[in-house]
Amino acid sequence: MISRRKLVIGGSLVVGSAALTTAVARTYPLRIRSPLEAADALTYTAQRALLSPNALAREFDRGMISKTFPAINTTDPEDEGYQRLRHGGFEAWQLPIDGLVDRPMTLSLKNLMGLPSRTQITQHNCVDGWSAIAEWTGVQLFRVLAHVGMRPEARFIGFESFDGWWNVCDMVDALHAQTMLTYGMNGAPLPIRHGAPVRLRLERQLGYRSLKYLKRITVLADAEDYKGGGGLSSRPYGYQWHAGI
Amino acid sequence: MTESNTLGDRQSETGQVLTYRHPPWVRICHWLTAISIILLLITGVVILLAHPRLYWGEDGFFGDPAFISFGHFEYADYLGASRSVHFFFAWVLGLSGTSYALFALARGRIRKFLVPERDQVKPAHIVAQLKEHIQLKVPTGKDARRYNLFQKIAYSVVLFVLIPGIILSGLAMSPSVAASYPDLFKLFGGRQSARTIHFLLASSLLLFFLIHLFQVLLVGFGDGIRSMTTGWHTLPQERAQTQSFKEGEQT
Repeated sequence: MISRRKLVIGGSLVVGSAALTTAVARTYPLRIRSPLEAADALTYTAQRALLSPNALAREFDRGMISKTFPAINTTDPEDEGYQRLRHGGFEAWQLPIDGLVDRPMTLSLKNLMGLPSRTQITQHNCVDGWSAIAEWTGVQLFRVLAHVGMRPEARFIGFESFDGWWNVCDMVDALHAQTMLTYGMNGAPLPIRHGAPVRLRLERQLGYRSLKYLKRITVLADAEDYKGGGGLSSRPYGYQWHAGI
Repeated sequence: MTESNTLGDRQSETGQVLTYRHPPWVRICHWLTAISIILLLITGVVILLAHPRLYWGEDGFFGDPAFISFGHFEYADYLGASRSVHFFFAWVLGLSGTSYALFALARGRIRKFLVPERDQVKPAHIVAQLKEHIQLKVPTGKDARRYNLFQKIAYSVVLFVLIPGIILSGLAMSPSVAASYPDLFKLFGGRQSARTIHFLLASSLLLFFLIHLFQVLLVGFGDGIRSMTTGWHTLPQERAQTQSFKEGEQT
């Protein structure tokens, strides 16, 4: 015998799960490839729904800057093109910005430095578990995107680096006030081991989303439609696209 | 199997007295929570191995003074996969824990089962309980039907301190959550402190889990599992008789 109460509870559970599944599938921009990625998608949906898109990552006083800032993974890309640029003091470095933009262009380091700058002292949170604080100087990504003019269908930004890594970020992160193309660290030019000449800072995600050694930026309509798809190059190693936790 | 008395007991074919202990939602939440905690602990260890040092304050890396250190190595082969599993079961734990707490509050079960009864907080009773625990004696009579003082304290600490503390310190480590709720750091004193507290609370939960398992083995593993799965807890005949004798004595 099914009581009315059980019917109501069971019914609301079914309707609730269906509504939640639909919301998650519609919000998460990538194809959900496994049950575990469904949980990642739920986390992404919950964070996008419950957290303020404008909230700033914590900023610290100068006194909190870490004396040594760890550099892991690539500390000097082997890429021939990169080494040529490096020996030329990055004078010849050019950042192409293409894809769904009105005015595709390549920006030199001088061009970037000519745009209004922002300096922020933030914490780098590595997926491994360590963290360190540094002062970063650069140009906010939204200024650069406004400079090239995004097409109406633009929804994601793809980043590619000289050491072979790439990933995609959504507009909530791309247009965030602290998301920067960063050329300065602790008052000096960005060191080689930290991603010279320009790295991304994506302050509300774990460190692996802040690509070093930027090579190219592409404006996209679909997050799956970049490189091999799946949103980031470290997916084969099991790393989540959304690194907000 | 249908005979029942005013206590809601019933008699099995073998003459054992069974008492109904856990309604379905308690059993469902218990097992979801148990599975989640086991998997969260395992994946938590794997995640920790990527940087097996714990610090106090905001920052920490090799070379900084460690609060707790398990070595100077990094093992991150299964870090990504473990994180996915960890957050999947964090969701399960969060949902089952919250629904359990809400149901328990709504049904008045916290007061009924977890708040110590007056006779349980009398010093003589506490000393007697302590002795029974040290001698690993299984409770009989009235005490076989209710949670003992230490059990009540342990369950309350798990429900209201450890699990909420673990979830909050875990959320404090999330750079996205931390941006919206920076007050979390006032609570935990920095990101590395939050990580250390997360570890310490999880270790306490592991300790609870091991003691809990030991106690279940002591009282009867098969019955423990059955009672949490079907809801019916067996009171061995001897104990049930002792209880009626005691009750007779009191009247």
